[in-house]
Amino acid sequence: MSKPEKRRLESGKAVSAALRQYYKDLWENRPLAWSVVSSNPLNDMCGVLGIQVAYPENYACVCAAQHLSEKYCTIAEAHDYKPELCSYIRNNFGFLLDEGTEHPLGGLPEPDLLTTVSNACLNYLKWFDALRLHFDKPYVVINTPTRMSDEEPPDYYLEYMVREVEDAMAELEKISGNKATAQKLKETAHYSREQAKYWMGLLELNKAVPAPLNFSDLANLIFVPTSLSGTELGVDLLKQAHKEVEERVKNKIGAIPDERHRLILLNIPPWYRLGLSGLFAEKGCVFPFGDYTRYVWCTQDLDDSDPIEHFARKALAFGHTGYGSSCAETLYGSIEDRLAEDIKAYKIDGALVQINKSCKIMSTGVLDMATVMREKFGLPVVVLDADQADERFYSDAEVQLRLDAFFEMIGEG
Amino acid sequence: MLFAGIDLGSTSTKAVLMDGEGTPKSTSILPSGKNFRKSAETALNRALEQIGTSMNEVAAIVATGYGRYITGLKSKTISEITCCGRGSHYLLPGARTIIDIGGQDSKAIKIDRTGKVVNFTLNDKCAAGTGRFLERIAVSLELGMDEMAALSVQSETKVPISSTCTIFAETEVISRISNGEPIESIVRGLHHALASRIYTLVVRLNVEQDILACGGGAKNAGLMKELRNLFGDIVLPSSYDPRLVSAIGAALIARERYSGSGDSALG
Repeated sequence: MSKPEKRRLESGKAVSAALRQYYKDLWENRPLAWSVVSSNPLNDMCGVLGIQVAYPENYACVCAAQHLSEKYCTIAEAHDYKPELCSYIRNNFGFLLDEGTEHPLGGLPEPDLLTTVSNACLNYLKWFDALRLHFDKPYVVINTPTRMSDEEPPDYYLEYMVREVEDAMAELEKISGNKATAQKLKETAHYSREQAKYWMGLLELNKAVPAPLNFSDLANLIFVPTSLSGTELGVDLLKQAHKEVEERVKNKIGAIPDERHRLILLNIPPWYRLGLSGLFAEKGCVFPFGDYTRYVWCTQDLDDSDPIEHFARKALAFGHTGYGSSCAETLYGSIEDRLAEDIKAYKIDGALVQINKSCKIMSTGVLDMATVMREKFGLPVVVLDADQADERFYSDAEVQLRLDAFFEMIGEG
Repeated sequence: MLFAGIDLGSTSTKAVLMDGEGTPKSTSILPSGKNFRKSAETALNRALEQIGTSMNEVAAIVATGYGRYITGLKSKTISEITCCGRGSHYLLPGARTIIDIGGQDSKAIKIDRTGKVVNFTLNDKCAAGTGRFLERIAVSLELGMDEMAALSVQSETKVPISSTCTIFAETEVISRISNGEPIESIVRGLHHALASRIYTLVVRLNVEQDILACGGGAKNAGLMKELRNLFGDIVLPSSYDPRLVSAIGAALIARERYSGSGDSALG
């Protein structure tokens, strides 16, 4: 079968260029924080104070995409970072402990401080604590209360978060020697809100048939909400992409030439096999929607009139907006309504579900969701067994078998 | 006019020749060895020899199994999951759940009343859920597979053995032997451990009767006894070796595609 024509976004090229420039700039500006990406207001707050931010989590994806995970994970494991740990952590420590000097995109410069937030992943806290010991640098953490439902959190949650943000800001000011100005706070909160709006707008546009964006397009654009949070450049890049995607929708231009199936993608993809979406495209399958692109980032329109409160709400917005991470949530039915809504809105007719060895949080409920999609919604589902950033756990022959059987099931064999 | 199904599995290569009416005319099974191309060719030639005919009579070939892309034959490729579903439906039209225990993987497949696959699960990347689990331990116990299965069937008791890892299980077996546990209880424990691993794959599919077992593992009486303890009735193919099910399905698909499209399914 001939390979389908690639329809890359023109605006995606600007994002790729911004990514390369970003990694260069990391070496130019100080102070530099290492931080985590997901809906983390600390990244915006660092921006307010002129602190450059690097993301070892993103860099682990880059290492994996360049097929270095075997090398880096092996080095980390030789230093007692166990194979059961998240592969982002092992890639990161493998990179740090590697005695060689050649690293993807020139490597990551050493940080002056470390920051993280407890809303996404408990591993982050331990990972960054280990980094604190490794670098002997200050560590700023925002603690977020756990939210167990979609309901608006009680006022005292917000009051607590505002105090956390204020305390963290004071610490960051002390470390950087800079003061947060009202103007800079206002601008940053505004850019943070605008980015979320454009990102949500892109996801909304992707409900169109044919879908203007495939997963690979979103995986490229996701650099913006993950690494350029709260910046004018980030807003401009997403705005350009939004405009181009609007045109695609208007002219009925799909991300793949002959869209016949619209699949949902659950879990973090294996970054070392992003070409998988090309295999699906050959069979007329596009991925207009996934929990990773929809629910992992701040995808709520949060009021920015009070910047500190905006940052506090941003930290609170994460961690409950997805399909949930527990089997209990799935079993007791709270997932089904949201899944039903997304499946209907995006006209989904099949699913690719990944069991991700690294990420227990993203993986705990996925098999239940696969069952719900098969049994309640009658969708064909293929389950892959892989890891987000450790290529050693990926078997091409095994994946090929599962995909062939899936394509045959949907009449594309 | 004949239609060929070839299943290149990790342990054995199977060939089935079927006539235009959909009746298998000859079959062959041989070890896959290291050269899959040669195994495919030999298996097909042996099946042809049995009925005194040649490749000229073969209108279409479907290759399946892990080696399906490297047969060297002019064939279509179809996954063994789809082929197993078709073959199972042919052999037992009431089959809805299939347990396929191969050398390299174990699969659970759910099919509809037409033999179409509606769901499937596979073991993860670990030999502990596959035929290799028993093969490896049989070697270390210096027992043949049949001998080990017979001991397991006889045993009234079973020693718990971890099913997490083949290597750990092997170590555990050695330690059980040195503790003086009866060998038949140990091997029953092993068969039970494998059956438990397979159980977790199958129950995820919402088991429906009839259940058909196939693949090399279905020939193991010890394993089948443990699986029947977990699932109740399980049917084995009555007229054919259970390892041939996917090759039969492949031959059926070769015949359907050739007849359906009106042109040769070769290449």
